[in-house]
Amino acid sequence: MSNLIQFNSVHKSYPNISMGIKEALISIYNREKKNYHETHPTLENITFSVEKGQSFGLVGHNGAGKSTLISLIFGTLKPDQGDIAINGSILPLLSLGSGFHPELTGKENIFLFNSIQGVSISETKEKYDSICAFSELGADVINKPIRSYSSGMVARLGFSIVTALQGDIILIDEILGVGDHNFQKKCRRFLEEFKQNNGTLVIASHDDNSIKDLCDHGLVLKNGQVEYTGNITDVMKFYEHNR
Amino acid sequence: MKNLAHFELIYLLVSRDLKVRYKNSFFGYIWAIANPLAFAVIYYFAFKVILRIELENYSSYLLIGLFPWMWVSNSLIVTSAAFRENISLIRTTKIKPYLLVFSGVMNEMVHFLFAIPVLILVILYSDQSLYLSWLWQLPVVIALQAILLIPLGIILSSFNIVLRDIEYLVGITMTMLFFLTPIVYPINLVPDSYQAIYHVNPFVYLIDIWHKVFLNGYIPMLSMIYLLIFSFMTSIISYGLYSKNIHKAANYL
Repeated sequence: MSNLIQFNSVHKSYPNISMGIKEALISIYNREKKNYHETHPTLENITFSVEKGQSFGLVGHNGAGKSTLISLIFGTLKPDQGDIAINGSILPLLSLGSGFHPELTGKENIFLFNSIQGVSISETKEKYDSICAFSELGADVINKPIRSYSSGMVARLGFSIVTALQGDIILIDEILGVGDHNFQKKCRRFLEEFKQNNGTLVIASHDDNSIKDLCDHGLVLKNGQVEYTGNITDVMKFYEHNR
Repeated sequence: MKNLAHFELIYLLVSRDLKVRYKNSFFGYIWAIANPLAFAVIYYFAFKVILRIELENYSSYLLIGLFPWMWVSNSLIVTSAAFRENISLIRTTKIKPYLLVFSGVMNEMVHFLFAIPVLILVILYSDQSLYLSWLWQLPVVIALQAILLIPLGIILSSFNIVLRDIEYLVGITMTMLFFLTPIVYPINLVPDSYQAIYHVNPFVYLIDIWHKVFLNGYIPMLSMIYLLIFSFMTSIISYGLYSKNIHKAANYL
């Protein structure tokens, strides 16, 4: 049970074409069913585990399957074959700002986003001040519609909200490069603290340095398969040699 | 506790949509009822002035059917696309997707609530009676209509995951159903040979209930029971379709 995340020979493929009514009719008519039911494999035979307290980095080129793997861990995708066991609650940091509405103020977005993540209004009220403090957005800014924010400010707000949520596993997909230098450092510190409190991190990123800094274990994905898994120094060495 | 959080999310989503649409202004309110009123004027001109339909108090008859219909039609059009439009939210957050359908239906319900005072004014203006019993009948029928629409919305949006063009067909279907439901004409003008279609269309029963409530002050029990059975069956179907298809959303959409 010490494994928080366990993948056993997981396969996942996507349907090639999303079906419209026309395609559905053709595929009934066309008994050979070619094209319309073809799939392309995204992940094949994925086996790995993440223990409690580990920080796990997923590296690989574009299209190697990192995001699909993240979605499988989060549970929005189901595997075609194989087993996935997740023994903990997940805090997703998959895209900062999705769920925000540009016409709502920062404050209104905080309440809406928390509610989307299952946090009650009264809980958000308690945490509201600390969220604002973390974001470093002043009281005048937080009461303005976020369409007037810069993309960096939106990302700040998005990250700050998550810092007030609870979870055993933080799942991160390519969002570490947000905000200015100071804010990045602050995010880094938050993640370090989360690790020290025995929290588990799973990070998919292209940024080799943040993976090296934050992770202790990891795996290399290539064309949907695990090429290498182990501690992060070896993983990064392997990755850099086999680019 | 969980349910409370769901209600809160629906509340926040509905108030977001209202804020965004109307920016809390009085003109916002005008806009909410301008659309059905404009249609009412056009239909009045076409059916009363030109085709000279014989029906007393045609303007109130028309509006009593038209306002709930707008709720039906807008809800189903909006909710059928709910999962596709919010796919990034479904992918990246812990949202329960079916709550998007609930909030879509509730949002259109609020517009209907906005329209009720206008309806009552028109009824008053045409010298018809107001009923005290509306105080309990209106909430009952409003709840009934919500219970009717939510499973239909879930069925359509779940289908739309695997067959993308469902959402485009809904618009056309709603236009056809509008004329197959006695809104701009009374049901007794329908020839006998076509009555069968009207017996299976659930919206015929819904609009019948609204007419009886607003014009006669009572709820026809048979129509109500038919709708409850219909909603019960669609709820079961929607549950099955939703649980079968929702995990495919991230694949297909």
